[in-house]
Amino acid sequence: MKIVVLVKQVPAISELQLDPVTHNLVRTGAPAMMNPVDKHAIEAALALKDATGGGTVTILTMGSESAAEIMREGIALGANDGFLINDPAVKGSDTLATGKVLAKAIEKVGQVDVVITGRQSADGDTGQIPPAVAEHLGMNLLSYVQDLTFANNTLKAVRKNLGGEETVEAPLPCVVSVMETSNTVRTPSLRGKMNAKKFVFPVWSIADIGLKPEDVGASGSATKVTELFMPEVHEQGVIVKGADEAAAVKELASILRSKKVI
Amino acid sequence: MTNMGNVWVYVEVKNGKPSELSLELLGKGRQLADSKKVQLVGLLIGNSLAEAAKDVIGYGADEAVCVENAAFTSFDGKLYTKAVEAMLKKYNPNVMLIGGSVNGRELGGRLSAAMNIGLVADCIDCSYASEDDAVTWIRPAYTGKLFVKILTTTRPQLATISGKIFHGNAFDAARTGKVTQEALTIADLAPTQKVVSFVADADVKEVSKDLTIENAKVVVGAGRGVGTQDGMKQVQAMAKAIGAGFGTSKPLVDEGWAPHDWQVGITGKQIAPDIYIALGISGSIQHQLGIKEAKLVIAVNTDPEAPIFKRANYGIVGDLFKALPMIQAEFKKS
Repeated sequence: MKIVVLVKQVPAISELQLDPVTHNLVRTGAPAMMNPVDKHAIEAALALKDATGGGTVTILTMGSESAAEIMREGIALGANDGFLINDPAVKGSDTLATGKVLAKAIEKVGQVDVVITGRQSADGDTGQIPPAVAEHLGMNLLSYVQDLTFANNTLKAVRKNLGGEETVEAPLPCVVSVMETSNTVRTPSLRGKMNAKKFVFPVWSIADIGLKPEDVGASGSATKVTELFMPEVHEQGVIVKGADEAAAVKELASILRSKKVI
Repeated sequence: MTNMGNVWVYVEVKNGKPSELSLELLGKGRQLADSKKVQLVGLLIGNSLAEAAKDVIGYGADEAVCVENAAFTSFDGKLYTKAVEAMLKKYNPNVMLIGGSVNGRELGGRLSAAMNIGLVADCIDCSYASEDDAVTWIRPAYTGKLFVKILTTTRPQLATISGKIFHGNAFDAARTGKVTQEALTIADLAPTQKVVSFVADADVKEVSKDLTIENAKVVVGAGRGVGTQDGMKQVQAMAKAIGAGFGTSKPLVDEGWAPHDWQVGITGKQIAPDIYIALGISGSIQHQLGIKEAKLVIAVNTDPEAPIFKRANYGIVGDLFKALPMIQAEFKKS
């Protein structure tokens, strides 16, 4: 089975800064990490490979050169190889443009049976890439998956949907997006870590995957951020004071009791 | 604006009824349509939609467009996308609102890719802000630090919207409207994926009988102020001790300390407890939207400038771990 995992480098959570002019995230200089749920996507891919007795797991990332560092984590865990899509033209891509790029790159990998992603990225937080990629590739999508198994050439997924828990089956090829709770990520082996250290990821430009500059970036996008603003401020609540935290809680409890809230 | 397309709402149908979220979107859709004096149309894809179509009219639409086929009995992303795409191309609406359910998100992402049009996720408000036909979308961004205004440069304008953001209209049985049946001429209408089993949440709850953040009267929320996963577990233990539900802010989920199921916020769960106790939560927009319906909010945070104090009815500036034992003692009594 040939599996591709889409991973993304995201800014470390508390370090997000904005460019006041372009309203884009300032990614340079900010500490970066692998989008946390993407580790579970890699684990899901490796488990699927193990269960089917073979195949390959390929890591695919669109990002800056430094994104190779997070791809190494994938190799350390047991992925076979990986490709980095790095091109200045993709700067400012929204999900429409990013979906095109990733789908084209998956086509270039070729003969892919399963594409696995995390449910969404911690920074953009839209979850729109898995369905976009599935649509471009004409594949089924099993999204927000809690549990994934494979038998008789069919993927079986358990997920929450429409006020309940459903089990859905889909044939290959298929895109799967997984939840954080879908598995426990394995510990990298020593050999994996060694492999990762020296691994060189081929870099693809957008021309390499058959796209033109106007297909991606701001010109290939259809949404535009026009303004950033702070939310309206509510009326300030009451700050309850006390000699220490415990005293303040006691005071608060007596206020609430007098108001018959508790 | 003349010759402007109508406002559409994608109506997700479950057990022959429009979903709660779809009704909320019809409420917002009505406002949008009225502001431009255009029609509000509900689009329904499924099998036997007659009852749901009546509901769509009763809840505020001028027209229900129904695409019925046995192949649409359960959601199949590829097929539903083909059906919706065909309808959008035929009717050219100006905008379509899609509920941010599992299926709605798939449909939105697929339509955007299939039609090469923009899509905005998790909007918390939208309006026609100017004379032209452009909808201004508002969503939280940058992990909920700020709101952004977004314009879509393509038509129809598409967005997904989470639950409990908008209010639906009251049902009016006397409302009249048009129900249009559309036949599809798509070749190869066979679903390729199938739902092999479904257990409704009510049944799941019956088995576990667990308190959830959605049904608990008191919910305790933990934020980045817990410092470590062990710190989070201490807060969780306190919540259990006082019989409260337990939720977290988004960063703890992003850290992998808590499952997404526990996340309170716009991309997690929107909750409406009687009392919400926010411990070590700064109160990003993303989080505050999740507790919009909470009746009383109490916050403990070391930072007096934390935005949560603006939302909280009562705040304590201090270390949550020092407050923890007394919260347990005082709230256990109630």
